[in-house]
Amino acid sequence: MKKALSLLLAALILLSACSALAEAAKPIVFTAATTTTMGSLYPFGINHGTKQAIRGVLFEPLFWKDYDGQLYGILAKGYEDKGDGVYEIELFDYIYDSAGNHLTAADVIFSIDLWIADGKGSQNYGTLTSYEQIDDYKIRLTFANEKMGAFDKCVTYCYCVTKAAWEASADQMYATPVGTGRYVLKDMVAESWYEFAKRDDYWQTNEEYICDKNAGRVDTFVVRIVADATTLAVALEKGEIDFATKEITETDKPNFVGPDGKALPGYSVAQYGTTANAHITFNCSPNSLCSDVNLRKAIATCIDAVAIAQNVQGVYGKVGTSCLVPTVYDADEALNAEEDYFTVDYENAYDASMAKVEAYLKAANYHGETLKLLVKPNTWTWDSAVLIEAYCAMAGINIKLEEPENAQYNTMRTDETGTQYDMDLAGMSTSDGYAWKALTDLDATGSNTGVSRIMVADEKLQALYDAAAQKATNSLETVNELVKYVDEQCYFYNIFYYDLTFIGNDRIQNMVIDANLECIFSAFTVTP
Amino acid sequence: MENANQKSGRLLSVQNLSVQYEANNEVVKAVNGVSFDLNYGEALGLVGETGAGKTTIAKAILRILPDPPAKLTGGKILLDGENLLDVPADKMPEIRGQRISMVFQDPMTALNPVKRVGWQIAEGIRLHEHCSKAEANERAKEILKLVGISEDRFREYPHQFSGGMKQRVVIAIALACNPDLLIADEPTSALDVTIQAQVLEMMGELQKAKNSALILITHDFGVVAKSCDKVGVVYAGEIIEFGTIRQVFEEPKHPYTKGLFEAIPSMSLDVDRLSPIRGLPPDPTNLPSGCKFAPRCKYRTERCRQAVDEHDFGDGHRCRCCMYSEEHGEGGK
Amino acid sequence: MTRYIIKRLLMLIPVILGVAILIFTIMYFTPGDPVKLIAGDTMTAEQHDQIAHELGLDQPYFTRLFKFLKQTFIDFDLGTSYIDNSSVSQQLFTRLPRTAIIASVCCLLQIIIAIPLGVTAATHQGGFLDSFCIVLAIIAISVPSFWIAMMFILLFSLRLDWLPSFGIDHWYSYILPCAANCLMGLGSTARQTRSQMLEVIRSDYVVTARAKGVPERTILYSHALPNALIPVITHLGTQFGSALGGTVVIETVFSIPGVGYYMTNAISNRDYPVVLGGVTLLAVLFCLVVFLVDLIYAFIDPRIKAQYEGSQKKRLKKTEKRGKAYA
Repeated sequence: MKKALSLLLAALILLSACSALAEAAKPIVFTAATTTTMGSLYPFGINHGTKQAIRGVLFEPLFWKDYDGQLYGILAKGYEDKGDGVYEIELFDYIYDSAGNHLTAADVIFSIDLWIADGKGSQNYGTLTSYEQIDDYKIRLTFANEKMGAFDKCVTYCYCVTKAAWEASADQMYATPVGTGRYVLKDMVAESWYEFAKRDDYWQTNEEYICDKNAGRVDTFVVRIVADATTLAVALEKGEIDFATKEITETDKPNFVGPDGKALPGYSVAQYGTTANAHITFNCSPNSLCSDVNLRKAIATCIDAVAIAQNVQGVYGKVGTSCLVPTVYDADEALNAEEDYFTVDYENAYDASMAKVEAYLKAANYHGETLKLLVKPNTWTWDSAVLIEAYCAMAGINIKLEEPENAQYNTMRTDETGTQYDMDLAGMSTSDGYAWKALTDLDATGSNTGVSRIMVADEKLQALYDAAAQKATNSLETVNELVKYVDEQCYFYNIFYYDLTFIGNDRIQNMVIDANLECIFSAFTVTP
Repeated sequence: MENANQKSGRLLSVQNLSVQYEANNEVVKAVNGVSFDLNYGEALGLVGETGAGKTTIAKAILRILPDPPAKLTGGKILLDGENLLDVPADKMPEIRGQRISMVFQDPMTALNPVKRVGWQIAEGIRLHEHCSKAEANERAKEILKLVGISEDRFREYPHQFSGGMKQRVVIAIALACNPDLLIADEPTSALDVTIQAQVLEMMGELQKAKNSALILITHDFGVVAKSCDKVGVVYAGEIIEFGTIRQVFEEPKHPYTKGLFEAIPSMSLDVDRLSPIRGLPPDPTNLPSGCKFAPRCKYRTERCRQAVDEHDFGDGHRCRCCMYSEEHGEGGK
Repeated sequence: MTRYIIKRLLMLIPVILGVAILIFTIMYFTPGDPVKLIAGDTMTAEQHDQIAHELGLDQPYFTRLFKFLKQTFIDFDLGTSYIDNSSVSQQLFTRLPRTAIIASVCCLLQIIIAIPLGVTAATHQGGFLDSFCIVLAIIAISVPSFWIAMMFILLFSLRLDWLPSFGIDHWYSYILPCAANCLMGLGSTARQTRSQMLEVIRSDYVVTARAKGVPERTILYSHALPNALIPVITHLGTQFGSALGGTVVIETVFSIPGVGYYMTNAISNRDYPVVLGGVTLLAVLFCLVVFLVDLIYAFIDPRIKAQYEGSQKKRLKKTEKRGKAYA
């Protein structure tokens, strides 16, 4: 009996070992790695992160937007803006997916249905009120209260499958994706690596309609999932991967990029600006002391943004000059606020700066009460928060820091009673190119209680916001008005912003990044 | 049953054995110059109080004293003429179990709880006789029968036996390879009286049948009287009186021995008080010079504190006491 | 013995049920809303409520609890993840072998390395070897696993290029993770073996064996070790059980898609189905491991086996008596 038991144990261990080791080793062509987990390969999932980039080679959207903001038709030949939020889109009539199914307008409608049913419709602004098929290759989309860029967002996120392929899949395309893209999933070990190979029977043969998105310059590429950013750096250094996306941490960057931003020998680097910034959103509700604009300005003034930017992001940090970052599409190139808290110069005019702070504090009637700064859990936010606390302390403002874990942060931040924090330090991961999207925290529409993240109902703000956000009224003037008001009221203080650095080894001659700052792996030019 | 041992004559000769324990910067002088002889077929009883050093003598013969604290500081142990203290340590296992065996005091903990009883007996046989497993098992079963345990219990574990039965198993283990010398360290102290008698009887029979020698360590004179031929009285690490049962029991020479016999309550006389020996045994880390018993002895003199003399009363009856020297003078303070 | 096994297996049921209810309650009361994490920053309150309704998160506690219990234990359906729509049971069963390999190899390494180390230290107590082994053990326990994992990667992967730095592509990808993971266990098992051996070596039955003429080596491994091992086996068993769910650090550093990393991520994301399903599965496995350890005791120590069978004997005696009464 003793022997039987030990044999059984040994057999169990061996069995599990074999099943795990039976997974094949991956071949090497061009290997990229990312830290985001993949999950299902179906086209409708949470569409941010490298997940989207992977889906983007298997499936195709109606349109694609490159980094500079230009729209290219992928599944769609073109569109017509009929005005009043109505668009008619014409599809190509020779689209076939990798299983040979023909894609028609009915399939596009089917895809949009699934996409909204999946619950991710909110990702794309939800102003899409109806969509219908006009004929076999034409659809009509109707937007209500169309926000600036809503159409772009909708059509660039709408990845389509054929109804036939979807219904043929037993696991809802969890591991068996069949799409119209130029690449097919050749092999994979779930959550470890995915191999994509170019197919010969890609439907788009007309050179005119080939852009970076469907160029297909790489024959085979592999995407590996690496859990830890430091391991990513080690793997790149070792040559196990060729491209590490934008996820290399600050501490590891000096191995690949020189202080001037140029790549070190053996590597290639590209910098892309985002519209995201490190910012403080103030809680302006009556429950918080920050409802007084003078206190807000005092805090904004006493923070030395230059020092924080350099300290936290090194040479890559740039100081904000208004609540928006210069890369937004619909704002002035030079968004220089006249507000003095952006023009503070701590290095050369320290005393004058401190005098301003004191004046504001006096106006705010502040007597040393403690303010709570909520910090979003992120790699760099805590470092910034500590510096902010120190600067405020120097000026006599008492700050208490709190960095809860991610889920709790979200709950605290959106708590509508306005008692959870006085200030919220966060950075958006990336945002789309429009001003209103960057300032989405200030939008009160759609909230249950009528207040936005600043916890107070400011009608003037809402009016300016709507004017800047609605496509009908969006213009340089309306956006500038909004920015001016926000800066005046100091609702949203932009501390610094930074470019994202994409790092790979020198096999990569050219990287292609799209409007969402995701990598289009298939378009990379790679030496063999 | 194995053939009786045909040898005769001197088996064991212990000469001037001294052992001390060193621990915590203290030196415990456990055994101080012990000497005795034992022939084949003889049974020697070593009596004395707890802590007198009897177990140490026994373990010293087998060389199973715990080595860091214990140290053999002198003497010889001759087994059939060969000095055991000269035997290299890795050759001792061949002698243990085969030529000399030991039975221990506490049967409850003397057996390995996770091994079958039969296996524990057969282990020794396999080691010393170099026979096959089956043969060893057969012999083990025979031994079990010999000590009065049914063969069916061969595959049972120690926890399934009572105290007395366990002690029999221990004895079986000791006798498995027909040793020439069996040392039994208080083998019946942990057993009740009826079992005691049985075990002693059995040991005696086996000893006679195999013509082996027996050293029986005990603090019970009754046991010695029943089972032994010779007796040595141990006090403070020395044998202060030695002789045959008849000699020592009928004519005890040493004041300590006399005191021991006087302390035994009489069945016939009606006394109000017992008469123990006053005082306590000396502290072994700080032994008195001269005679170790002197502090408690009612016959002591000045001489006793300086030296102690060995006296031979003939026929092997000897005693360590100054009383019998000419220099002693009258007893008293 | 069979009776005992059946009884123990039946006793597992309330334990696992209890764990399931407990983890459900904990997740229920933990602050943090999964819907916000799923839909992102830009959703409206209406959309939030709609998603919450679809996921069943707006129902009262008991309804949700019973639904969960029924779904898990009667339908054996662990649900789908909120975050990536994958089937929880499929994910768990794909990931489990990888974590199991690391856990098993660590266990084996401990048996092969730590136990002899402890025995050596015990037999040379006070000597140089003893001190050496103890120091090794203490270093092994004190070194943080993530640090040693990074050091291994830097040395064996980056500088020497002998082994891959991450992933599970080949069988040798598991070498570094197992080595980094088992250190702490090695140290504690060695120390425990040593202290158990020291106790056992002074036992009377060891003296008996020596008096029997058994050579020292045999005494150590045949007589002393089996007795010394019982607490060590408990230790190994619980380590293995908890390693099944907990090698998070190693899995993160080496990018091994195993259970630990999956569960930890799910907890951060409030991915309820994954957390609930995962914890329940791990509870089942852990209980089975503990049960196995108890059975192993019975094989090593016959006194424990007798204890397990004890009630059976009483039953037999009763029927004997009854039989005699009618005879």
